[in-house]
Amino acid sequence: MRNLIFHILLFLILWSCSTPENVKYSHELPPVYPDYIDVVIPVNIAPLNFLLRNDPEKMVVVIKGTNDSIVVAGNQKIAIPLKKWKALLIREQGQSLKITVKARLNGEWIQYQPFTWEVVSDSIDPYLSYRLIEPGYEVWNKIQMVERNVESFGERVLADNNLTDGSCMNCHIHGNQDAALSMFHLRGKNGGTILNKDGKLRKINTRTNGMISNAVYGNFHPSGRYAVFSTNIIIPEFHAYRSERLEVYDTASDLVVLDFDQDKSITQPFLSDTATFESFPVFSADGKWIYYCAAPTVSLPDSIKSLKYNVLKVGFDAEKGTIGSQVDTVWNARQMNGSVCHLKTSPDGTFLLYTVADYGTFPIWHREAELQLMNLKTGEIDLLKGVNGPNSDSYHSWSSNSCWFVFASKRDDGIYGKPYFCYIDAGGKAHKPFVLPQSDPASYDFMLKSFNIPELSKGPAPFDAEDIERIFWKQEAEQVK
Amino acid sequence: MVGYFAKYNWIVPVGLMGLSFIFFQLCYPYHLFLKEQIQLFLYTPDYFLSYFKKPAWMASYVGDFLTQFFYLRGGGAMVLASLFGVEWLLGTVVIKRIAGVANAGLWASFPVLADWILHCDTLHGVSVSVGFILVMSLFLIYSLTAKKWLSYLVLVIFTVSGYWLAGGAFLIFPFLVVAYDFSQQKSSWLKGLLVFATVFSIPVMWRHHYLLTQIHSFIFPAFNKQSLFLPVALLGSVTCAFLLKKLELTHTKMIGIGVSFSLFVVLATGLKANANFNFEKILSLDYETYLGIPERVVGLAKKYQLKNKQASYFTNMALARQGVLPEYLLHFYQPFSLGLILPVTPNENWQSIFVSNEVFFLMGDMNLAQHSAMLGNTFSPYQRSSRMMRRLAEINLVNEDSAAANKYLRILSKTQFHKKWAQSRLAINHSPNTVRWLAEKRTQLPRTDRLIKSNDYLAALSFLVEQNPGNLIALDYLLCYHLLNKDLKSFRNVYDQYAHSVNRPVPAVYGEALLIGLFTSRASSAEALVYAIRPEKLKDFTDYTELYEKTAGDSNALKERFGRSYWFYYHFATIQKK
Repeated sequence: MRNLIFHILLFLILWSCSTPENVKYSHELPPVYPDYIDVVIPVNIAPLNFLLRNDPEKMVVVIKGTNDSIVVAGNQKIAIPLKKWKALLIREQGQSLKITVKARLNGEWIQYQPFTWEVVSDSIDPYLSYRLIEPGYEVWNKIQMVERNVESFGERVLADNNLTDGSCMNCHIHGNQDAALSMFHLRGKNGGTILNKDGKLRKINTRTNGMISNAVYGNFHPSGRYAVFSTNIIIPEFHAYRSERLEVYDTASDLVVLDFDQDKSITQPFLSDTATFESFPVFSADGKWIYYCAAPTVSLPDSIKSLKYNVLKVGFDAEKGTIGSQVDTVWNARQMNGSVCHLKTSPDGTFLLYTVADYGTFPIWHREAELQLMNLKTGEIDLLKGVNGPNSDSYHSWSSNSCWFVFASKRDDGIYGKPYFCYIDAGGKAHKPFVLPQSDPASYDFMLKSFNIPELSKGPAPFDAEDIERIFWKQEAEQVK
Repeated sequence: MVGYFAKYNWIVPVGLMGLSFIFFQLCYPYHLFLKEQIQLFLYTPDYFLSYFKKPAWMASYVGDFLTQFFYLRGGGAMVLASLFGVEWLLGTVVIKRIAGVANAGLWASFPVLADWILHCDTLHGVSVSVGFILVMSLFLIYSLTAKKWLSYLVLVIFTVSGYWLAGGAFLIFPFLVVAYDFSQQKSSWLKGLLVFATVFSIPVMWRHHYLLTQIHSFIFPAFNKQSLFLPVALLGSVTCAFLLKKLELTHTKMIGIGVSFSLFVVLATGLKANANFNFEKILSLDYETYLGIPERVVGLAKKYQLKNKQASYFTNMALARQGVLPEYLLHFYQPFSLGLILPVTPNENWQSIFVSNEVFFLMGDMNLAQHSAMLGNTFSPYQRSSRMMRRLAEINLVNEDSAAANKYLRILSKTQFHKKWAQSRLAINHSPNTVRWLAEKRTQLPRTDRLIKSNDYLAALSFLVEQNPGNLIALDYLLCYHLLNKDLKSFRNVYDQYAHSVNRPVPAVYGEALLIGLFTSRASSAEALVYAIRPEKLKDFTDYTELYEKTAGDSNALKERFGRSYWFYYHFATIQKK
């Protein structure tokens, strides 16, 4: 009896490992989800597990490099072994991996056209933080701030509003992609802006007399001493037409620089007047300029479609802590017939990445919203045709080496945003992006949360949800003067 | 085990199982349907793994697995009655092992009744019952382990893993262990103390890992503290059985009668306190709306005559679907325009938000419907609702947003009971031919854009009518909105612009409202004739006016004949603040 069982098991193992026979060749690419066809990937990325949309009975995938290969089998999806994957990528950096997919459909094996994964030695920052929230509508119930290790599938919750009285939390951003310098806003009665500096957490009430709101969209100065913010009165309204869904606009918005060392605010009268809306400010990589979006005020919501934001810049003196008075136009909304938001300068100072929509300041429901890349040295603009998808692409963040950026894209279903990584090569060319890999590639299908405001960093944040709970309930907010 | 039950008077507790089935099947089925609608059980590995992010994974998974059967008529009652049966069976053995009493079967009925009463609340999940069953099972395994070293091993394993498997109900485990050891005269203070300390410290130590608040960590997977009554009822039963043990030896019959009477009292008072039969009626209207049977909604509304905003909401939708909203509007309670559209605001409870999309979907405002459905899902207790997935899929099918529709249909195709529905919709989504209901819905869609505030329902209704005057449901809602808010000027404007040309006899309420307008503007008879108001209405109006003047506006005198007229509503309806 034991013998029989052994032989049956042996047969089953050999049968399951056997190479598919009588394979038919297809001229089509496999229906892979997520779309990992012909993408450029960093040497340190987690395995690009995928599934086939045509529900095969079985599939075999060969990932072949010049020196080595991995064979993975599965039913509708594959899970590439992490250790083998890491070893393969290290050996194959600078090379292309050829991925051959064979699938058994209705008892028949089909081999699809192979596709490639080009492995580049330029690493991506290994940690990605994002907010998980129900999509859009400016309303929340359960929110989590999550940090994911993109080299593996490790995930950690940085903040959970279940522990902070259900309060809203937003905009977790790093300074210089440094794990020891970051901040986000916790709203509500015990809220404040949580500043992480070298692991020490501070809670700051950023609203001073004369400010129209608390700090909203912000960015660190490279020194870490300052941060520039917009303050916004935000109004959500609904489109009536089909799936345009939500429009969010400001009825007032200003700019302010906060000095975290002296807890004081710095501004200029022209940055807080009522004639112009100012938003999405960022510092240049050298910290000498503030780039921001600005639009002349119009009657809202009636003239929403003529609300178009320019990109302007103004000088900043970090020594004196003063904002300049000379404003230059970097991107002219009228000439370009669009409206800009979400500015992000690359850490090496070469690029300015931003989102352009037809109008307004809230592109996440604008299907036409696309990323553009401006070379700040030459003024050239790359429309990133191979990067943008059919739905909104926005909320981007750079990797510290300026070779990669991550952005939130709704290209899959138009509703749920997911983080996509895009490679910029040494020639400044942007390549086809790919979505953050998951251990189970089907998990995106069943997820009912959007990945919001993805932000890369060089290391793990030195706090977790327990720290945020403590600071929320037990620490008084420091008042900015 | 059979030996135990041979001695017991098991007729009462088994009778209770039967009664509970009858209760949930005949008197309380709609609460159970709602429990399924706010859940979404998927047959995917990722979904299964998601249960490990919180404690009580086994109780929650099995509980949610069983909750999906609430979709079936009779499924919920059957599941609950079966669970109660298992609870009673295990509870009896637990009490017998600890207290060694003859009436253990009767005592074990208390936790069953507690669970029955608790299940009248929509937020008391099946996972709580399953967790309770798990805890009793763990205790019985421990108490039935004869070898001392093995029982210690079992105790250690269960103490450490019980919370992980069963959640907050596991907090009664140390009480049961100590009581059992005491009854067996092998109690050790150190052992008891260690078990207590470990069991009670695990929720505290692990709450940050599970991202739970202090209170929630002790009651999980329950939402409310009142769910703790279930395990506490068992402790109470064990304690009472133990204390009355000696008395039972001499007065078995008396104790039996006393306990039976107490069971009856507990059930009666518990159901009175926890069962919301009014809400059950509202849920019946909701369920028939969900199934798309307006005749049944109107029939039930006539029977119940509820004075409730949500009841009016479902009734009005059913009337509108039948095309008779302005005919019978005032045959039902109308709390001004609040019964037409349920607001989606922070002040509303989740159940109200949950059903608020229905009217927007009915009228063809897909963006507001999507907003409400999305928030309905967001604010429902588990944030994954099968009903909202279905609605979101439908909305995106209407909007021809096939990628978004696919998202929801793909999710539903991984369920047991919504799979067929999802597959039929997926076929529609991928078919070049449009089915009738979809084509009809698409005719309601606006062709241009406008920005509208989320709670500006008047603007939303006006826009729908402007865009498509043939959208009779939206038109009737707009006209009734003005009428219920007593804004006759706006009503007249909209009526003259859009409704006057509609080919149908002037509905009762519109005719009555028009007569007020014509009367107050001293319109000529030629002007009045243009509206083709039914002649009997003109006579009624004269009679009403005469009676009103004769009785100096005495509502009691007018109510019998004119209580369902717009004139009466116009004169006497007032907003009552709570």
